[in-house]
Amino acid sequence: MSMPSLAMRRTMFLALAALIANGCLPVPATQQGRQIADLYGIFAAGSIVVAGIVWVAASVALLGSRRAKEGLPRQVSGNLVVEGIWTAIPLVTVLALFALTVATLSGVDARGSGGVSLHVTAFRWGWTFTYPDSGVAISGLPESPPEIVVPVGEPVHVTLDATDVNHAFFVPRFLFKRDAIPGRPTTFDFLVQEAGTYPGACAEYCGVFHAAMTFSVRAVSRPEFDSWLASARSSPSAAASAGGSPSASPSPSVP
Amino acid sequence: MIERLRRQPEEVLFFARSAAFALVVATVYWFVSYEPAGTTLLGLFGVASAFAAILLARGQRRAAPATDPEAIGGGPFADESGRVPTQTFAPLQVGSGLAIAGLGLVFGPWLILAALLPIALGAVTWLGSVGAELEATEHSDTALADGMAGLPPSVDG
Amino acid sequence: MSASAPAVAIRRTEPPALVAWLATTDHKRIGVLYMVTAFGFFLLAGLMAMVMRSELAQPGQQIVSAQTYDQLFTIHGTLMMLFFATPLAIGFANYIVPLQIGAADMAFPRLNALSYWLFLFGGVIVLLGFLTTSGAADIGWTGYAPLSEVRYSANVGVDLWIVGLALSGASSIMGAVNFIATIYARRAPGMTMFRMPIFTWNMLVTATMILFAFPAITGALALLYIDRHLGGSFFDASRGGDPIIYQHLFWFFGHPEVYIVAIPFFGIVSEIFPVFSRKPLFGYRLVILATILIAGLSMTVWAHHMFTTGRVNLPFFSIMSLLIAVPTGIKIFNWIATMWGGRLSLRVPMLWAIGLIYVFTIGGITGVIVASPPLDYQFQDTYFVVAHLHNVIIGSTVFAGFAGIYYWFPKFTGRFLSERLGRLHFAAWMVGFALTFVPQYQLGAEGMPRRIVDYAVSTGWGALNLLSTLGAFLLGLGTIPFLVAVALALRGPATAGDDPWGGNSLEWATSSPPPHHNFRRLPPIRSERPVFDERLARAGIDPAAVGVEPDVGPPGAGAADVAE
Repeated sequence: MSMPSLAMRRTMFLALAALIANGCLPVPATQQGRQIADLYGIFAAGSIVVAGIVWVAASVALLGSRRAKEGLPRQVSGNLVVEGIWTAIPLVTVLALFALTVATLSGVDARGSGGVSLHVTAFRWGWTFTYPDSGVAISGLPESPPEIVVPVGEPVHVTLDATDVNHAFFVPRFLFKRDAIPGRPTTFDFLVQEAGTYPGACAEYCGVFHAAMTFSVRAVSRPEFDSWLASARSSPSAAASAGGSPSASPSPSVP
Repeated sequence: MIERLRRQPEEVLFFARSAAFALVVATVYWFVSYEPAGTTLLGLFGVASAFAAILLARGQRRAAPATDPEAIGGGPFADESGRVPTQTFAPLQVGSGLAIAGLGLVFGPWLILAALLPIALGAVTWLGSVGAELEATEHSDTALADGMAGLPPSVDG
Repeated sequence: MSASAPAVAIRRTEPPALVAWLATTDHKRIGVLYMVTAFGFFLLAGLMAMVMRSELAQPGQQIVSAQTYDQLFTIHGTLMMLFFATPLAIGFANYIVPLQIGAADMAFPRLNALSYWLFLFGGVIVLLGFLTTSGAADIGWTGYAPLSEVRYSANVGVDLWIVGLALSGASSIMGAVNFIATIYARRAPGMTMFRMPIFTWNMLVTATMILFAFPAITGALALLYIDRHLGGSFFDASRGGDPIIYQHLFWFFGHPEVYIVAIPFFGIVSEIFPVFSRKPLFGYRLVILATILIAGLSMTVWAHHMFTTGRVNLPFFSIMSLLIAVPTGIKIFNWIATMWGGRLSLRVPMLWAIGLIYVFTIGGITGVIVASPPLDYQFQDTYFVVAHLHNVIIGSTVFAGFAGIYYWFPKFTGRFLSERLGRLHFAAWMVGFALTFVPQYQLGAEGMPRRIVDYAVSTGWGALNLLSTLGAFLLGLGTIPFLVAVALALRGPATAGDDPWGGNSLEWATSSPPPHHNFRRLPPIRSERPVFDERLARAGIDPAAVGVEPDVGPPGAGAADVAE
């Protein structure tokens, strides 16, 4: 049984750290979420290393002092070299993390072509989702939260707005949220890679029913999506009933 | 300019560096974001720091022994009791008046009128005792300036 | 006989106790008032937290209505940030800063008293909301517009919140002016800037931050009041306003505020590590530089709270936020280096200071994580951020706050707090802290939003929430030994003496508690440790023999010593 080399052990430690850390996050369902999870793995591994260094150093200082002699210890007031080292290493580390952040950011914020457009309007305390290409609108309040359907493997171009106060569109399995601010629409893309139903919620406190302001996103194959869209278009009442009455919202939210 | 700055004591440099930092960041921030609110806030942070630095630099022309590294002090503590005010209800009166006036913003302007009484009462006591202290310490002003590094002894509010 | 005569004379002229407190302009009494009041708000806000944690322990609503819950988290946050953490720092500073610089009082003693009264009345006015029929403010401690506009929150509690915050903001600004004037103008002869104790330095930096950050919130509150009652539309997009501006103004204050409540407390542990290690602070000048860098950078990172708005420059705020990790790391490493090779005395103040290193490090690291916008997309407004902010603020304010109380209580009263109860208090808080907030990190990563009164069973968040609630109750119960220790100490005899720990700075050169004018005599001030220098001289030890330099030299002057 030979001991693994130092480099190998270090790699194993980092891999283990990344594994532990990524266990914290939900499994990402979107292309963007996967990029975020990869970045998080690096940050988390680095975090465990840094915490380890600080905790071990503090513990060694603590335990080492047990062996200290009586009387006044040597009055060391500083050391430019070691202070330089623990200034430079963190500086290089955060610059590297910043570079990775910028790289990931350009991927997460990139806009794809093709796919589906979706207008999301948040209001107290529900959501209206409109597919502008087909005119289908789905609205829902807390008692029957809305469910939207999107195709797998295609970008969904979201325009997000709010009618009253600030809200936020948040789907934990997408590892993504965006604030919905009245009068200040924002846009983003998501591309679901895996079919399934993903719960979402309002993440920006918006008043007394904030906790109940949920929705879900169901990702299906393109043919399924097309047939769902067709049935929703032919029977607008079905869509409306799926999500309660839009007229119950404080302001008309369907354009 | 640089040379004049270098000769300033640490007290002035503290705010001068703060001003330089804020103005540089404000400039950079404007050109990366073109966002007016944050630029204004950062800019005012810089201007305010610069104002403090300039004010202090002008005041430093007076004696400032505490900035002299050769001085070590020590010995009996100089009794500054002349300028340590005795007990007074003035701050409590002014404070409760301001709080009542604040409530006036919520419950109606009549409360602001009611607040004028404690504020006036407190202000009279306050300014009166400041005046008395000024008078009492005026003759020893030069001695007191030693401990005051450039600020007039009773700007007391 | 001759010594006791003046004491009798003083007692005879002493006014009744209540008057002595209400009419005081003595910085020590005002400091005590600040600390006791702030601690009262801390207990109150802590009880609110325990009610909220009880509600969240299980899915389904059991304890309070959503309306009450919203008021509780709003007032909990407001009290903890603005009526506990900030005033506790100001309280310590009120008592300690004039002593540390060898002054008889603050520069403006009456203004100092006014600051205290405005802070107290501000807090009471915020709490008055609970007595109104529509309840206290329920808009979150951040008070985001448009939710805080009158159309969505017409309750009078919000107006009381605005007025209370404005008063306490004015109080903080007055306090900041007073501290800067005191530190600049009332230092004893010989007390140069680079001989000032590190706590005083940190307070100077904090006061400067207050001066530049608090006006932003005062402005935001004024604009919000105009919107609510005078027909303004600053934050109303439908009438040409911009809701984002509120967030800019709030966080331009709000982010420095997080450091305003951390830097004084870093100062406290920077006093404690040297004293209980019997060594000077490692890299005194670098620690000061790091403090200034943290303060400067913290003024430029406000919009990292706004990454998910999609309307701020992400790289700028990301790099500025990440850079703060560097000076913060310097501080932590310099504290460890101060302990390194020292003769540690693990008394209760030191335990809290060491606990801070372990706990705060995690808060700092998770801060680096949320400083990265893509990661913040997941963590913003979830329990991950809740855990992070509590980790940072409890890790600094509360741990160092308790460290400071155990450390300076003998100076305040002449009495020690019980070592045994202090250890129990510390142990309960270490365990309770981990139990409360580690589960919250995981809940946030899984996507549990903050400020929700309830969550569905299907989320599977019940078990972790229950753990977190148990931890919160352990924190609550763990505070009882501290209260008992204070009560016991105040009944006990004064045994601490002037300098019970072997202190370094001037507050240990006077009696405990200090006389009205603070000092009878001052030691010569040749370094940032005048009391240490004098103790050495009295013991007849040659400073050079133990490696003491004659004055605080340029950084690295002690380089030769570290090699051993």
